[in-house]
Amino acid sequence: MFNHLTYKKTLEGIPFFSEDRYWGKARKEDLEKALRVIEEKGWDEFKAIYGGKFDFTFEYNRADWRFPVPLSKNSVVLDLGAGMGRTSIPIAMVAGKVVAVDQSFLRMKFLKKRAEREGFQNIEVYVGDLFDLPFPEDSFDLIVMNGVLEWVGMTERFKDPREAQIAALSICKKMLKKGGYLYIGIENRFALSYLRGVDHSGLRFTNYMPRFMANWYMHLRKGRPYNTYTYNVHGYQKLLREVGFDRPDFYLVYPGYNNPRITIPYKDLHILSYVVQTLMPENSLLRKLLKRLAGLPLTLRMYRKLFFSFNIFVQK
Amino acid sequence: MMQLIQKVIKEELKVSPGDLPLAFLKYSTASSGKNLKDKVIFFVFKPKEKTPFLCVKTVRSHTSGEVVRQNFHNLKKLNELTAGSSYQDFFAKAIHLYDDGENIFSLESVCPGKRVRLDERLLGAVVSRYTGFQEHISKRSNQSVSDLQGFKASLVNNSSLSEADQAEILLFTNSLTLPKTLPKLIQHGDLTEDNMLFEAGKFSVVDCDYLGVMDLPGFDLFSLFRRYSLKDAKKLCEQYLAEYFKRIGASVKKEDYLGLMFLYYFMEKTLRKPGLLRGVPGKKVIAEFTADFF
Repeated sequence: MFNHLTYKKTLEGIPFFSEDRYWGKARKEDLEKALRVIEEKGWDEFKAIYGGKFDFTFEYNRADWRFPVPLSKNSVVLDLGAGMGRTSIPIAMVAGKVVAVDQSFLRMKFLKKRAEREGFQNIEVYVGDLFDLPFPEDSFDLIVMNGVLEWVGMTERFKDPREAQIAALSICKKMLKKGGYLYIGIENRFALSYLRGVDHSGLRFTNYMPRFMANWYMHLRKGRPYNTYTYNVHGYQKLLREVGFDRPDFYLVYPGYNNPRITIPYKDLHILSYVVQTLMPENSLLRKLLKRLAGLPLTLRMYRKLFFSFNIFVQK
Repeated sequence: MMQLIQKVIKEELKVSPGDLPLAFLKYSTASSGKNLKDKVIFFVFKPKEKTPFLCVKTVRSHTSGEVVRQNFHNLKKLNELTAGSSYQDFFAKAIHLYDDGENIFSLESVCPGKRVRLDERLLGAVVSRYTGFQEHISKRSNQSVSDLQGFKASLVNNSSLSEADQAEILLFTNSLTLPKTLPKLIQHGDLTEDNMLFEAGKFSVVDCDYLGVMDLPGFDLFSLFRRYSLKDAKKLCEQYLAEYFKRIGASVKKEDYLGLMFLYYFMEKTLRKPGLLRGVPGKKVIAEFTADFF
């Protein structure tokens, strides 16, 4: 589809825009081994050995955030940080073309094999860093940043993570067609669930800290800067405004943006109230309490500020 | 897709401009997505309305659109059967089916209420109301299943069991008697507490994917009892089925119950999930049934 792109190299039919940089929860050697299983013994054996081990899924619900975006067989979609295809595959069922890009060659190799196996001829895979992408301006109807924006500050090209995020968003804006959509799936900096879990930094509570303090703490504990910035709704709005995306649409996502079972328009408190009272399980003391207080707008305003993650849509 | 849905709602339901823009709450169950046939649901709200006024059902790929079509036509059939009766709100109303070859979705009314856990008292109320519904549709149906032995044989022979296992099961069921005939009555096919919504003493039934797959009366109540309590299913069948059969005008003797229960049990194992019995020994199927029902 993009005929005049310049690649650094091509390996096993996959063009490279940047050097390969492996990332993922599993070790690189484990994924190499898993790919050998696919090549030598087939997918059934792979599923039997590795089902659920890596950052992939054979379920079709991981791109359920997509419904606010008008997609058709004419749509061209760029999936940034495509990983092992949990977004690319379901999107390819409804779009004309999916361009999947990831910094890891092994992940793209997996996705390419999976797309071939499942008969998707409309998925192109590339190895590349977002800052090296050579796609022309006005190329895409939708750009997907699912769990990507928070990691963009890890680059060494910018000193300030926020600056890197603005640069990344600006690149996306250029690549979008007029009227095209950018989708961002990301955590809420002030999510209540971070009281129990770790931030992207690998440390607890760094998201809640002022940036300078998180940076100092990160240097102390890990010997590197704090550069995985997340924000609250106001923060994302400000960030997007700086790039020229003026009217972002926010959705609350339950249980999280990686598995968007329930998506609630952020501005509609009455819908959040309906969800809390009728659809959410009462599986914790907090939920039980919330259910009883859901009729009070103040409770709901507070609750949405503490929600775990957002789906954000902006249009060029 | 939401833009398209809004456009269709606006055109089909003549929504006034004051009620726009509509807001969409996307919902799917925890298991939805494992299969392409799994549904995605949107609840549609008018501005500031506390409850949705429409339910939209779709699938993640148009290739699985048959599920939406089937669900819509099933609902329509039920709407026709219950029109004008006290059971007309028992199920959602099928309003419109949209299919442009790339997008498919159905518009339905929203059944009010919440899911609740059934207790003995509520189970009794559900059975009574459901029996009433079946009685109502029995008056509009003049079809019957007249050769139940033949029905049983074809059910077993069309299962995914091996030939030897099919023969073993038929041999076992030869000792079980069956009624001579039963009226043919549409069954929901998945009557569980998860598919019931309760509000102000009333309840409605949702998720009609398996509606009409089986028309053998009693199947729904049997499934409901099995899922309510596996160990008490036989007792509950004995407690409620006599009244049920009486009200639908079926003549079933007490000694026929075990044979019927085996039919329901076998239908549960085969009709909703064809292939579930592949490789399962007939002995195991029989043993499981006898453990629960003998």
